[in-house]
Amino acid sequence: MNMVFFILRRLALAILVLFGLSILIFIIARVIPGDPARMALGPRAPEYAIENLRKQMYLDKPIYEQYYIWVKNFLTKGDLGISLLTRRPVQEDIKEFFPATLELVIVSGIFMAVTGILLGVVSARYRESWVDSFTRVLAYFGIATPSFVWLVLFILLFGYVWPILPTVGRLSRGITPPLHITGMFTIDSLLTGNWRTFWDALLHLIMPAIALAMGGLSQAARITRSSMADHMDKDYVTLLSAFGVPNRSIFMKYLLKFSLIPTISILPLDIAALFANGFIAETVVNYPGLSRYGMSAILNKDLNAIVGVIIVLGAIYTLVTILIDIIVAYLDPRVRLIRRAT
Amino acid sequence: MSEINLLHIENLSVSYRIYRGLLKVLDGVSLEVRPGEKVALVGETGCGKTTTVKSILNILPRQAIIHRGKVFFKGKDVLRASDSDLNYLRRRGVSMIFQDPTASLFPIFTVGDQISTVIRAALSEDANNTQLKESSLFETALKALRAASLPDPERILRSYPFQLSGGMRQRVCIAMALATPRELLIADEPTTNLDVTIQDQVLRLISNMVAEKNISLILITHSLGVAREIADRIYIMYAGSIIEMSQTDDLFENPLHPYSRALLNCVPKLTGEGIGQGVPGHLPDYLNPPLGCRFEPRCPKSMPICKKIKPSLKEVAKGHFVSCFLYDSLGG
Amino acid sequence: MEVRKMKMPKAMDFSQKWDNFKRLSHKFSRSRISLVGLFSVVIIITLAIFAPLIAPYPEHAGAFVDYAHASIPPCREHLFGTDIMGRDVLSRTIFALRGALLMAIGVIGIVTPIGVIVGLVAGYNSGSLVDTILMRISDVFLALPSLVLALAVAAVLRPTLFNAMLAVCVSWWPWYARLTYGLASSIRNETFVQAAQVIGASHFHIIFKEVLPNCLSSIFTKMALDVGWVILIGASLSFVGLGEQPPTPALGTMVADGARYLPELWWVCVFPALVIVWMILSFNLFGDGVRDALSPEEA
Repeated sequence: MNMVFFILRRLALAILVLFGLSILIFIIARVIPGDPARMALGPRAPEYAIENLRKQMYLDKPIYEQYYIWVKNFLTKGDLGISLLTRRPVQEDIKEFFPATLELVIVSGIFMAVTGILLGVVSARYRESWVDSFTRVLAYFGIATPSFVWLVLFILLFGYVWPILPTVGRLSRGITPPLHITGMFTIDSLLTGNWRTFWDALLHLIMPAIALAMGGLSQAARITRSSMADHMDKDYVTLLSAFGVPNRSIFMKYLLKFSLIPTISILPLDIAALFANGFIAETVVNYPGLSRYGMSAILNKDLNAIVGVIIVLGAIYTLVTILIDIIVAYLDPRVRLIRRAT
Repeated sequence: MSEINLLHIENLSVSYRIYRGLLKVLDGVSLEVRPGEKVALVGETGCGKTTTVKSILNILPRQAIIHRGKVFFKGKDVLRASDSDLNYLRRRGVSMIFQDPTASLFPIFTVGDQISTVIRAALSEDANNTQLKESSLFETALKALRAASLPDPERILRSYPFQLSGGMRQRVCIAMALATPRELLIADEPTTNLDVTIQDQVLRLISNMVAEKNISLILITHSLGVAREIADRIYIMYAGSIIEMSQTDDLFENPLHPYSRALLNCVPKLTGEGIGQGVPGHLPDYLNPPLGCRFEPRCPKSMPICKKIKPSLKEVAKGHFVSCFLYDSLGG
Repeated sequence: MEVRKMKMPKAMDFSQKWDNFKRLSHKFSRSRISLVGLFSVVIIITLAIFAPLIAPYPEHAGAFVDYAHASIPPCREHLFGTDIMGRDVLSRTIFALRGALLMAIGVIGIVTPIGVIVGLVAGYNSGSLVDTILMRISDVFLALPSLVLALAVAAVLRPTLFNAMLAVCVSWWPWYARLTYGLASSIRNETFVQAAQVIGASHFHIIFKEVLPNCLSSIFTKMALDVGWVILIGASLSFVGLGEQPPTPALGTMVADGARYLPELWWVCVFPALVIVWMILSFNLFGDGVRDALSPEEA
């Protein structure tokens, strides 16, 4: 009951925050110097066309009115306005580009979580072994290297020096995209049993996915390792082994769950942040996803697209934060029960 | 030294590896416990009491190095025991109550969860009990909590450690230790981290339960007063060595070692805070301990030989052992 | 403890400060890897400051063209090779350190006072309307990954190093507000703060003389740990062209330009990329050392 109340409260706050975010982004997007209508139509467009476009985008109205119209259209019709670049409704564009990015984030996120946690657990379990040293060094470099640097190095190594992976796009030329079901090529091709497309789509995902995952992976490995190593020396672990509880069951049942709490409260945010890091990574490998769309919107001052993409990302990010709070409250009774008391 | 010993530690030396070198914490500790006997191990904080008893269960931290010595439980060497012997020792033979009840329980698992894990492990050694039922686990846990005079045991089983007071937590640990039959209980300063008002209750509880079940007890304490109340026999430890051992009454009537005397002198001043102020000086540096007697730098009766040779534990009266050159006919 | 703090003189005299410094530097230097970080940071700063003296071809850092010597692979005259305009990549890389460092100094220098003041005010008044408003505003800025917000702001402004700095600041100050808020709202309930209130000290005095000094070590730690992050975000911004503009060299821009000529002119891209990693790694190691030195628990 209290948990439900807690979640509702968090959701209400999240909506407030998203409103704030939309205002912030709206203001940022409107202080762009220069006339967006003129930029969209080019220098040689006739004056009346520009005037028309400005009317169409309500650019002739004061900014609070523009915001009011935007909110009204969004809430009543789910309408985010027209993209100046693609000349299509922004929500359509987002719908089209989102699955590709989601696919990339999922693959990258799985790789990040599995490898990061595994490395952390193994190096805590075998402290001062070679795995531990390897993880330490990897973590230092993983955190210090921007994802675009990883990507450029990967492209050089696995695209050119030892060409085993494709460097551009979502699919190789000559391979037809699978039937649109989810929009995610790997899943759609699996569903339709098209192995060749599946394999090709997967190969295209590997490099950007790993490059994006490196930072979060390093962080997850580091946090998991230190949290687990910390707990292993504590009395509650010694006590259970003093009572002859098998090491394996201490490890699997107690230690693992307890040690993963800090990782779990960071990792989903790192995964959600992949949408953001994807802004650059997708642009580098020309991967047609939402992040590349957002990047080109930003670079081309495509007002409605900027606002649309950022609101979507903000919503995802905020929901993930709430999700983390719920998971952590579920895992750690101290969070759940002490909050209730106050 | 006789074959009826339940536990026999022989000349045990343990060091801890730290980044500056080796902390030579235990230097030839010998100790024994007979069935049904209550023994106290007394010494100031940091003198190696906990290290000594952790070696009995072979749960020394991973930085520990055992240089020498043996630990026999019912004639079997614990430090070189097979897995099955070690499991027998930990599940049926010896149980331990740790110093800090707050640190002894996983904060995010219920008391019931942890106590039943312990009971399950203990009963899994029993051939008749191969099929453990959750309900019988639950019953055993309830009985144990009730025996530790905890009110409303059903609620406590469902509680998380942070929902209980320090005293209740320590009672839970006592219940855990004595939920299933044992032959020896080790209580490592079980009351140090508790409120003064409940220290006495918890001590009495331990003492009563041990007497009721007729099992042996090693009580670690830094208070001679507590030791006198509970123990049949007292070991006094200083800087990793046993420096005196005798029956409780003997010791209080006729303390021999200068350190023991100093300790007894501050008994009336004891507040449970420690005894450091009663004996001038500090424990020696374990990285470079004194060559001879480790108490020599603080000893009011230091002699030249004390700096060079470490005295060994010798019987100077019947059942009264001391390691000091003052009582050594060979000593100068 | 609290009482002692109250009696503490307003300013430490020089010998106390010196002792304090010696103690901290001892703790710092216990870890060899932090010393490596410090050493490396000193090298980076020296290179940046004395770039015109150290760089083999300082004139290549500007609008310089020499097609006769274009696209030379690494050799003795050009350790990092030359780019398609014949400019020495090493010299440009050394000069680019300046922008990256300025970015870090600028961002942390702007963000810290803003965030700390917001956090102090909100934390000291925790539970009040001021607290709610300030912290909800900072929540809005935290509702996006900082890179996206920085990209959006940087894109709106004219692309210059200073504007990139501002963009990162917009996304970064709430972290300092959050940190200080947490510290201040708990310190507020300490006895020595309450004692100061009883005596009748002004809010200004309490916030800046009682609460702030007790937040400083955490704030310094965060600043030290953040340098690497800021350099990373700055490099990302300049990678997409939203930082220092050509012909002035910027590490991210150099990587981006070089990536277009992969794999043939690999050196144009790889060396600046490795320098980015080296730079962030050094500051991170240094930051870890500062954190360990300032953390209260003794090991």
